[in-house]
Amino acid sequence: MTIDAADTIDEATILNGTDIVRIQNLSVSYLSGKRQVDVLKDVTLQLRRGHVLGLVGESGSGKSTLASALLGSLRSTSFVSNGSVHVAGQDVFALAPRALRRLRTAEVAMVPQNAGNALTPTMKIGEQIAEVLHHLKGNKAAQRARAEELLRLVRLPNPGPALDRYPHQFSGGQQQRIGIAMALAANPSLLVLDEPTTGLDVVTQAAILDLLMELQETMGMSMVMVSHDLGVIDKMCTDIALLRKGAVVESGMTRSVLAQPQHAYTRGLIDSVPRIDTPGIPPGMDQAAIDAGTVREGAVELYIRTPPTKAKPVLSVRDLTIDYRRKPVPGTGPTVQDVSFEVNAGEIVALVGESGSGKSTIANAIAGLQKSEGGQMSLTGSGDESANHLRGGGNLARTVSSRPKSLRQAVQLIFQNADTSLNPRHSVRTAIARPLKLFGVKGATVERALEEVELPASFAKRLPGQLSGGQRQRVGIARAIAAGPSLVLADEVVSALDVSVQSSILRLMDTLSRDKDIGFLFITHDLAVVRSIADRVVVLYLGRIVEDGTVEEIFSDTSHPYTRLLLDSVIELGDDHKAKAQAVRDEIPDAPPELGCPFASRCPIVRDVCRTVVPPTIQVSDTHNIECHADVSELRPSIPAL
Amino acid sequence: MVTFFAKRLGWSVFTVLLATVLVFSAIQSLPGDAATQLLGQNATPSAVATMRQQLGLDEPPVSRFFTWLGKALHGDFGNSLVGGGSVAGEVGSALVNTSLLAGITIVIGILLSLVLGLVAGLTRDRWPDISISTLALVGMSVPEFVVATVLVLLFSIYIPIFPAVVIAGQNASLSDLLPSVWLPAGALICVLAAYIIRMMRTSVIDVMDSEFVRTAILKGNSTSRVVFKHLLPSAMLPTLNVIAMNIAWLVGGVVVVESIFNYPGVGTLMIRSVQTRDLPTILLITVMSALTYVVCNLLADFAAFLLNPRLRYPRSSK
Repeated sequence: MTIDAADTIDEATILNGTDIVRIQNLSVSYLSGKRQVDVLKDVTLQLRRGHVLGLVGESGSGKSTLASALLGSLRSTSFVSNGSVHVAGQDVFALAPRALRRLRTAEVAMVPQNAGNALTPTMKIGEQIAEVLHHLKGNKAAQRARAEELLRLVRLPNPGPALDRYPHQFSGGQQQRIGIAMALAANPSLLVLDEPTTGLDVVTQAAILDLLMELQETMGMSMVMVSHDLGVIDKMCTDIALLRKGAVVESGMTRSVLAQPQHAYTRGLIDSVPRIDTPGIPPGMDQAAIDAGTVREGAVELYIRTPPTKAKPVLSVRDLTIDYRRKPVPGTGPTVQDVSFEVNAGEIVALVGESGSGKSTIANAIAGLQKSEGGQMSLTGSGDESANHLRGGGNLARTVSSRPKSLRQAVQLIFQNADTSLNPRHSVRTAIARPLKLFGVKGATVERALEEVELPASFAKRLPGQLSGGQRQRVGIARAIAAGPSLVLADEVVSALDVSVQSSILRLMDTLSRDKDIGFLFITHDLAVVRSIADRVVVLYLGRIVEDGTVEEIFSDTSHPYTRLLLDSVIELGDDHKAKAQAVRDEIPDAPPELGCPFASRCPIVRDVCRTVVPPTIQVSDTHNIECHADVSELRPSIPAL
Repeated sequence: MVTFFAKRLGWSVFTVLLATVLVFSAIQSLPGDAATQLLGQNATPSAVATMRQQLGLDEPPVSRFFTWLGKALHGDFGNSLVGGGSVAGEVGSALVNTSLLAGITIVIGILLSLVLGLVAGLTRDRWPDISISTLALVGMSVPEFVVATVLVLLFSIYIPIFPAVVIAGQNASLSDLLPSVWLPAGALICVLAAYIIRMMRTSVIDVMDSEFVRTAILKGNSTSRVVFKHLLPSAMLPTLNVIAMNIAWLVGGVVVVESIFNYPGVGTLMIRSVQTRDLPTILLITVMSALTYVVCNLLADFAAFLLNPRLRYPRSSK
């Protein structure tokens, strides 16, 4: 792919078919009042047949608009103000409706970001795939056979019966596979993928990406892939284009652009991604410097957090058991079983696992939003003399409505989506003042709370809609901190944020934990973030702890096979993606087994005893425990490759 | 699923019972009863007492209610206190007439409003939507008796194609009624359609914005396929309950409209019975109204069940 903005389109080049995509000086705008706002500004890109283009950028960069423009689709209020888009030699915005439909059925198909929302809930998936099979129109049996073949191609289990099921009967990873099968059904020459794996767990993501890569190679398809994840782009794409505020700032061959970025924005983006192999929080992006075009020289300065030296527990969880089942189901065990861990004052403990691992369930139980069936949870005095609200500690077994006020004050939550957890009609002041008033916090003001999260006092007047994503999350943190808690439960607090904002929020959590001696229970599926911020890590699988230890120990060579699977599934910038082992394809079971090790059904070094006996604890060190029947020597990566 | 509908059915029976209790006590608390109404203001107290005894009104209200309930469960709804005839027969013939009116209103009204709502939603903020939405708003804000009067002015006075009032009495046959059913039906449709159109429009707009409709369009489906296969089932779901509510409302709307057009239906009968404190008739009409309401809601639940696979197949384990 080359950028030659000065060139005009040579009709012959389009017709000879070496380029599947030609975007020439494309500007897309919408009207805000009488002012014209550009979503895309003068974008010129080409993609050769058989190549894969990655579109990278942060939220608001216009990458999704550009992707849907390839299908001739824009938001109803937007319009093409300049330039053109040619796909397979056709000017998509000049096509008549009928011809545009033909383009979408034959040449270009889209894999949506969240297949769970993109599949029609009231139609069987077989029918949804079949309606794309226009060449088999009228032949029901042939359509069915082809649909089944496509589902087999994307490795959906039991493809035959699956045709007669509805979308909600599949897991997130399976829905994404169905979405891909549906896009492939048209046998398109160009596949457009909008963040195809963003909502998925690392293991599922790795499996879906491997599948896409294989399909692309065998079918010789061209692809355009939108992502905010540089690791994913690095693995999948031959070509890359970086977008910022609607304009392409840099483009070229993926490997060379990412190895030697020329633009300050590319550099900043690469630098702000946390890595699983290096500890420390990366620097935030300096937007002003990028606007000025200054490329930072020298090595990236990472901020390394120092864990608290004294162990003063604030939260102690012993043998916690939670059961969602109304009545026992044969062969399955409780949702969460025998979970024990501690959080010390000033410490950041990460609770890690795939969706369905029970990490949010445990957090809800600690917060008192979920009843527990067994075990003890207690909040011990924070040890901080100024924290006068909690002298004797408290029992967390009761749910929130029957907890004393002081205990409710001591445990606070920060949510994943600050935009939905803040009332859109309440000002920032109302949101933060509420806990201050409710708990009668003395000497605290809304302005102080805002200052602590590095927001100007003038923000108190604003409504959540007038804030950016990062600012809203800061307000969410300010609201939690304002009550003066000794324990904060932070559920995926950075996963919805752009990487450039992510590091500043992580830095804030670090500062607050040290300055206020708050213990953080940090729930996340993002291992790179864990590496950068956590002091200790608890790895969960199906509601059971499989490994726990200090952050260094968890990322060391000796790991539980499940931790190893998670680590191996992480896709990072600069990895040798081809050499990396293929991910285990099995999906996480619906319910934990009644007996033995929860991971037995997916474990590469499983033995008979694993299916019947609860694994013993291997004490690798004072702080590092692994629950496994295997010998320690088997838990190093040189032994059976996963 | 069976337990779900069994539960709903139980609640329905309870609702109907509650409605009869409420109406019974409401009539009791009104001053005067059938005896005073029948004999007029100048009746002597002893005449009233004799009349009460004849009508069985001297029993305490609670025992009268249970006597009525016991007989009603066996299908005997008693005799009219005023006319003396069987209540079931009287209400039955009125009900047939009302069913004709309601049936025409429901079939035409619902089809029309679903189509108009769909068109409005699909052409959001363009002229078809703006005209439909404005008309719906007018329909909602103007009371049915005004609509009825305007319709009479237009179609029986300026352009005399329909009769203004029904001259045929209580015993009119359906064929006698057929020419005169259209104006009252029109008045009811105007009001009924307004709510359904607005609900349908909102719900179509919501679903149009959903990712699955966008995906269906990007798959290259024809517009009609997108609308009828992908959009409509989901858009219908929230509208179903509004339809059920409006059909139930129709029972009340019928009273006013029927009396304007002197249509010999349940509404007209209801007004007359209330005037004469004819308790058995009022009670039976109440039971019928409550039943209509309950059956409509049950039907709406059942339709939702058919349209929504998430209700039919709860997420099963793999």
